[in-house]
Amino acid sequence: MSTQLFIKDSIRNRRRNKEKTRKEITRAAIKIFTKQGFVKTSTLEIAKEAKVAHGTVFFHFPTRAELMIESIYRTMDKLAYELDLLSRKTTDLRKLCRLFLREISIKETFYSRLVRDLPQLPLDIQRLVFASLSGFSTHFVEVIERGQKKGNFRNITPKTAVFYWFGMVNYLYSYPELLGTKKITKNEETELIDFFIKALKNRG
Amino acid sequence: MADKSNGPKPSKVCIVCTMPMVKPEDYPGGNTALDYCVHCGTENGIYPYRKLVKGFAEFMQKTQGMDPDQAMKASKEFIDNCEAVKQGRVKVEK
Repeated sequence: MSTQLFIKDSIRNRRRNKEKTRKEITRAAIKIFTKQGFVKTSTLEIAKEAKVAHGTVFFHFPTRAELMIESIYRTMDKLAYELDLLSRKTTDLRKLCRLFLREISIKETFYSRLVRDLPQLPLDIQRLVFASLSGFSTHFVEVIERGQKKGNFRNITPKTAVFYWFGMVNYLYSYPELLGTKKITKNEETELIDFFIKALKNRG
Repeated sequence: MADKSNGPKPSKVCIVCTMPMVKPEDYPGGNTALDYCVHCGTENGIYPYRKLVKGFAEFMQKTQGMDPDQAMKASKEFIDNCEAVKQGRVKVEK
Protein backbone atom coordinates (compact mmCIF):
# COMPACT_ATOMS: atom_id res chain seq x y z
CA MET A 1 0.00 0.00 0.00
CA SER A 2 1.37 3.40 -0.92
CA THR A 3 1.93 5.95 1.84
CA GLN A 4 -0.85 8.14 0.44
CA LEU A 5 -3.35 5.29 0.48
CA PHE A 6 -2.29 4.32 3.98
CA ILE A 7 -2.88 7.87 5.23
CA LYS A 8 -6.28 8.06 3.51
CA ASP A 9 -7.27 4.72 5.05
CA SER A 10 -6.10 5.77 8.44
CA ILE A 11 -8.08 9.05 8.28
CA ARG A 12 -11.17 7.14 7.14
CA ASN A 13 -10.86 4.67 10.00
CA ARG A 14 -10.40 7.43 12.53
CA ARG A 15 -13.55 9.18 11.24
CA ARG A 16 -15.48 5.91 11.38
CA ASN A 17 -14.36 5.25 14.95
CA LYS A 18 -15.21 8.78 15.98
CA GLU A 19 -18.71 8.41 14.57
CA LYS A 20 -19.08 4.99 16.21
CA THR A 21 -18.07 6.36 19.61
CA ARG A 22 -20.47 9.29 19.26
CA LYS A 23 -23.32 6.89 18.48
CA GLU A 24 -22.36 4.66 21.40
CA ILE A 25 -22.39 7.62 23.80
CA THR A 26 -25.80 8.70 22.48
CA ARG A 27 -27.18 5.17 22.79
CA ALA A 28 -25.94 4.98 26.38
CA ALA A 29 -27.39 8.42 27.17
CA ILE A 30 -30.81 7.44 25.82
CA LYS A 31 -30.75 4.28 27.90
CA ILE A 32 -29.84 6.05 31.16
CA PHE A 33 -32.07 9.10 30.52
CA THR A 34 -35.00 6.76 29.91
CA LYS A 35 -34.24 4.73 33.02
CA GLN A 36 -33.59 7.50 35.55
CA GLY A 37 -34.48 10.77 33.90
CA PHE A 38 -32.60 13.81 32.64
CA VAL A 39 -32.19 15.52 36.01
CA LYS A 40 -30.66 12.65 37.94
CA THR A 41 -28.33 11.36 35.22
CA SER A 42 -24.69 12.40 35.34
CA THR A 43 -22.32 12.42 32.38
CA LEU A 44 -20.09 10.05 34.38
CA GLU A 45 -22.87 7.45 34.44
CA ILE A 46 -23.29 7.84 30.69
CA ALA A 47 -19.54 7.41 30.16
CA LYS A 48 -19.60 4.19 32.22
CA GLU A 49 -22.58 2.83 30.28
CA ALA A 50 -20.88 3.69 26.98
CA LYS A 51 -17.59 2.23 28.26
CA VAL A 52 -15.64 5.37 27.39
CA ALA A 53 -13.56 7.79 29.44
CA HIS A 54 -15.48 10.66 31.03
CA GLY A 55 -13.48 13.13 28.93
CA THR A 56 -14.53 11.36 25.73
CA VAL A 57 -18.16 12.33 26.43
CA PHE A 58 -17.16 15.99 26.56
CA PHE A 59 -15.02 15.67 23.46
CA HIS A 60 -18.13 14.61 21.50
CA PHE A 61 -20.66 16.68 23.46
CA PRO A 62 -19.05 19.76 25.02
CA THR A 63 -22.21 20.50 27.02
CA ARG A 64 -24.81 18.37 28.74
CA ALA A 65 -27.47 20.18 26.71
CA GLU A 66 -25.91 19.00 23.43
CA LEU A 67 -26.02 15.39 24.60
CA MET A 68 -29.64 15.80 25.64
CA ILE A 69 -30.59 17.30 22.29
CA GLU A 70 -28.84 14.53 20.36
CA SER A 71 -30.64 11.91 22.49
CA ILE A 72 -33.98 13.59 21.82
CA TYR A 73 -33.30 13.76 18.07
CA ARG A 74 -32.28 10.11 17.91
CA THR A 75 -35.32 8.99 19.89
CA MET A 76 -37.92 11.13 18.18
CA ASP A 77 -36.54 11.11 14.65
CA LYS A 78 -39.20 8.82 13.18
CA LEU A 79 -42.00 10.93 14.62
CA ALA A 80 -40.39 14.14 13.38
CA TYR A 81 -39.96 12.76 9.89
CA GLU A 82 -43.46 11.32 9.62
CA LEU A 83 -45.10 14.46 11.01
CA ASP A 84 -43.18 16.45 8.43
CA LEU A 85 -44.30 14.24 5.54
CA LEU A 86 -47.93 14.09 6.68
CA SER A 87 -48.30 17.79 7.44
CA ARG A 88 -47.13 18.67 3.94
CA LYS A 89 -49.99 16.88 2.25
CA THR A 90 -52.91 16.93 4.64
CA THR A 91 -55.45 19.33 6.03
CA ASP A 92 -56.72 16.53 8.25
CA LEU A 93 -55.67 17.49 11.75
CA ARG A 94 -57.16 14.27 13.08
CA LYS A 95 -54.54 12.23 11.17
CA LEU A 96 -51.74 14.36 12.55
CA CYS A 97 -53.00 14.00 16.13
CA ARG A 98 -53.36 10.23 15.73
CA LEU A 99 -49.84 9.88 14.33
CA PHE A 100 -48.47 11.96 17.18
CA LEU A 101 -50.23 9.97 19.92
CA ARG A 102 -49.27 6.61 18.43
CA GLU A 103 -45.61 7.47 17.90
CA ILE A 104 -45.30 9.01 21.35
CA SER A 105 -46.80 5.89 22.90
CA ILE A 106 -43.99 3.83 21.34
CA LYS A 107 -41.42 6.04 23.11
CA GLU A 108 -43.63 6.66 26.13
CA THR A 109 -41.01 6.29 28.88
CA PHE A 110 -38.57 8.62 27.18
CA TYR A 111 -41.27 11.21 26.36
CA SER A 112 -42.62 11.01 29.88
CA ARG A 113 -39.14 11.62 31.33
CA LEU A 114 -38.73 14.58 29.02
CA VAL A 115 -41.99 16.34 29.93
CA ARG A 116 -41.51 15.69 33.65
CA ASP A 117 -37.86 16.68 33.84
CA LEU A 118 -37.63 19.60 31.43
CA PRO A 119 -39.23 22.17 33.78
CA GLN A 120 -36.62 21.26 36.43
CA LEU A 121 -33.63 21.81 34.15
CA PRO A 122 -31.83 25.17 33.80
CA LEU A 123 -33.58 27.74 31.62
CA ASP A 124 -30.86 27.66 28.94
CA ILE A 125 -31.40 23.92 28.47
CA GLN A 126 -35.17 24.41 28.39
CA ARG A 127 -34.74 27.04 25.66
CA LEU A 128 -32.50 24.80 23.58
CA VAL A 129 -34.90 21.86 23.83
CA PHE A 130 -37.82 24.11 22.86
CA ALA A 131 -35.85 25.42 19.90
CA SER A 132 -34.92 21.90 18.84
CA LEU A 133 -38.47 20.60 19.14
CA SER A 134 -40.11 23.50 17.35
CA GLY A 135 -40.60 21.20 14.36
CA PHE A 136 -43.30 19.26 16.22
CA SER A 137 -45.58 22.20 16.93
CA THR A 138 -44.90 23.71 13.49
CA HIS A 139 -46.69 20.83 11.81
CA PHE A 140 -49.78 21.38 13.95
CA VAL A 141 -49.70 25.12 13.26
CA GLU A 142 -49.40 24.54 9.49
CA VAL A 143 -52.37 22.19 9.38
CA ILE A 144 -54.48 24.42 11.65
CA GLU A 145 -53.73 27.47 9.49
CA ARG A 146 -54.74 25.55 6.39
CA GLY A 147 -57.98 24.55 8.13
CA GLN A 148 -58.60 28.17 9.07
CA LYS A 149 -58.14 29.30 5.48
CA LYS A 150 -60.75 26.77 4.41
CA GLY A 151 -63.08 28.05 7.11
CA ASN A 152 -63.05 24.73 8.99
CA PHE A 153 -61.44 26.07 12.15
CA ARG A 154 -62.11 29.06 14.32
CA ASN A 155 -59.97 32.10 13.80
CA ILE A 156 -57.88 31.73 16.93
CA THR A 157 -54.11 32.15 17.19
CA PRO A 158 -52.68 28.72 16.28
CA LYS A 159 -50.41 28.81 19.32
CA THR A 160 -53.51 28.64 21.53
CA ALA A 161 -54.43 25.36 19.87
CA VAL A 162 -50.83 24.18 20.34
CA PHE A 163 -51.03 25.00 24.08
CA TYR A 164 -54.26 23.04 24.26
CA TRP A 165 -52.98 19.94 22.46
CA PHE A 166 -49.55 19.71 24.06
CA GLY A 167 -51.06 20.66 27.42
CA MET A 168 -53.30 17.61 27.21
CA VAL A 169 -50.64 15.24 25.90
CA ASN A 170 -47.98 16.42 28.34
CA TYR A 171 -50.43 16.15 31.26
CA LEU A 172 -51.06 12.52 30.30
CA TYR A 173 -47.35 11.82 30.14
CA SER A 174 -46.56 13.72 33.34
CA TYR A 175 -48.62 11.22 35.33
CA PRO A 176 -48.43 8.00 33.31
CA GLU A 177 -48.94 5.67 36.27
CA LEU A 178 -51.60 7.73 38.06
CA LEU A 179 -53.71 8.27 34.96
CA GLY A 180 -53.03 4.96 33.25
CA THR A 181 -51.84 6.82 30.17
CA LYS A 182 -51.02 3.68 28.21
CA LYS A 183 -54.63 2.51 28.45
CA ILE A 184 -56.10 5.96 27.80
CA THR A 185 -54.10 6.59 24.65
CA LYS A 186 -54.99 3.12 23.39
CA ASN A 187 -58.69 2.96 24.28
CA GLU A 188 -59.71 6.61 24.25
CA GLU A 189 -57.60 7.94 21.41
CA THR A 190 -60.62 8.93 19.32
CA GLU A 191 -62.29 10.79 22.18
CA LEU A 192 -59.12 12.74 23.01
CA ILE A 193 -58.70 13.79 19.39
CA ASP A 194 -62.41 14.49 18.75
CA PHE A 195 -62.59 16.79 21.74
CA PHE A 196 -59.60 18.78 20.50
CA ILE A 197 -60.97 19.04 16.96
CA LYS A 198 -64.42 20.07 18.19
CA ALA A 199 -62.89 22.84 20.28
CA LEU A 200 -61.26 24.19 17.13
CA LYS A 201 -64.24 23.85 14.81
CA ASN A 202 -65.82 26.90 13.34
CA ARG A 203 -69.37 27.03 14.60
CA GLY A 204 -70.35 30.12 12.65
CA MET B 1 -34.56 17.57 12.93
CA ALA B 2 -30.91 16.71 12.60
CA ASP B 3 -29.20 13.52 11.47
CA LYS B 4 -31.62 10.63 11.76
CA SER B 5 -30.51 7.15 12.76
CA ASN B 6 -33.45 4.80 13.17
CA GLY B 7 -36.37 6.10 11.18
CA PRO B 8 -36.74 6.87 7.51
CA LYS B 9 -34.25 9.44 6.40
CA PRO B 10 -34.95 12.75 4.72
CA SER B 11 -32.45 13.49 2.01
CA LYS B 12 -31.02 16.51 3.78
CA VAL B 13 -31.58 18.83 6.73
CA CYS B 14 -30.93 22.56 6.69
CA ILE B 15 -27.50 23.37 8.15
CA VAL B 16 -29.02 26.37 9.94
CA CYS B 17 -32.43 25.39 11.31
CA THR B 18 -32.30 21.58 10.77
CA MET B 19 -35.56 21.59 8.81
CA PRO B 20 -35.82 18.43 6.67
CA MET B 21 -35.50 19.32 3.00
CA VAL B 22 -37.51 16.81 1.04
CA LYS B 23 -38.92 18.67 -1.95
CA PRO B 24 -37.42 21.25 -4.32
CA GLU B 25 -39.68 23.94 -2.82
CA ASP B 26 -37.83 23.48 0.49
CA TYR B 27 -34.69 24.88 -1.16
CA PRO B 28 -34.08 28.52 -2.13
CA GLY B 29 -35.10 28.85 -5.77
CA GLY B 30 -35.71 25.10 -5.85
CA ASN B 31 -31.94 24.57 -6.01
CA THR B 32 -31.48 21.15 -4.40
CA ALA B 33 -27.70 21.47 -4.49
CA LEU B 34 -27.89 23.92 -1.60
CA ASP B 35 -27.59 22.77 2.01
CA TYR B 36 -29.84 25.37 3.65
CA CYS B 37 -33.58 25.82 3.44
CA VAL B 38 -35.83 28.40 1.86
CA HIS B 39 -36.42 30.01 5.27
CA CYS B 40 -32.71 30.50 5.99
CA GLY B 41 -31.46 32.07 2.81
CA THR B 42 -31.76 32.79 -0.87
CA GLU B 43 -29.96 31.32 -3.87
CA ASN B 44 -27.30 33.94 -3.25
CA GLY B 45 -26.41 32.69 0.20
CA ILE B 46 -27.43 32.13 3.81
CA TYR B 47 -29.02 35.12 5.52
CA PRO B 48 -26.83 37.15 7.87
CA TYR B 49 -26.78 36.21 11.56
CA ARG B 50 -29.20 38.87 12.82
CA LYS B 51 -31.82 38.04 10.22
CA LEU B 52 -31.56 34.33 11.02
CA VAL B 53 -31.89 34.93 14.76
CA LYS B 54 -34.89 37.23 14.32
CA GLY B 55 -36.61 34.85 11.91
CA PHE B 56 -36.15 31.79 14.11
CA ALA B 57 -37.28 33.70 17.22
CA GLU B 58 -40.49 34.77 15.46
CA PHE B 59 -41.01 31.20 14.32
CA MET B 60 -40.77 29.91 17.91
CA GLN B 61 -43.14 32.59 19.19
CA LYS B 62 -45.66 31.61 16.57
CA THR B 63 -45.39 27.84 16.81
CA GLN B 64 -44.64 27.32 20.49
CA GLY B 65 -46.06 30.46 22.01
CA MET B 66 -42.73 31.41 23.55
CA ASP B 67 -42.25 34.72 25.29
CA PRO B 68 -40.49 37.13 22.84
CA ASP B 69 -37.42 37.64 25.07
CA GLN B 70 -37.02 33.93 25.73
CA ALA B 71 -37.57 33.14 22.06
CA MET B 72 -34.82 35.61 21.14
CA LYS B 73 -32.40 34.02 23.62
CA ALA B 74 -33.35 30.50 22.47
CA SER B 75 -32.88 31.52 18.86
CA LYS B 76 -29.40 32.99 19.50
CA GLU B 77 -28.31 29.91 21.43
CA PHE B 78 -29.62 27.63 18.70
CA ILE B 79 -28.15 29.54 15.76
CA ASP B 80 -24.79 29.97 17.57
CA ASN B 81 -24.48 26.19 17.66
CA CYS B 82 -25.78 25.39 14.19
CA GLU B 83 -23.72 23.62 11.54
CA ALA B 84 -23.50 26.74 9.37
CA VAL B 85 -21.77 28.60 12.22
CA LYS B 86 -19.47 25.64 12.90
CA GLN B 87 -18.48 25.70 9.22
CA GLY B 88 -17.80 29.44 9.45
CA ARG B 89 -20.48 30.26 6.89
CA VAL B 90 -22.46 32.41 9.32
CA LYS B 91 -20.62 34.83 11.54
CA VAL B 92 -21.98 35.16 15.06
CA GLU B 93 -22.59 38.79 16.06
CA LYS B 94 -22.88 39.69 19.71
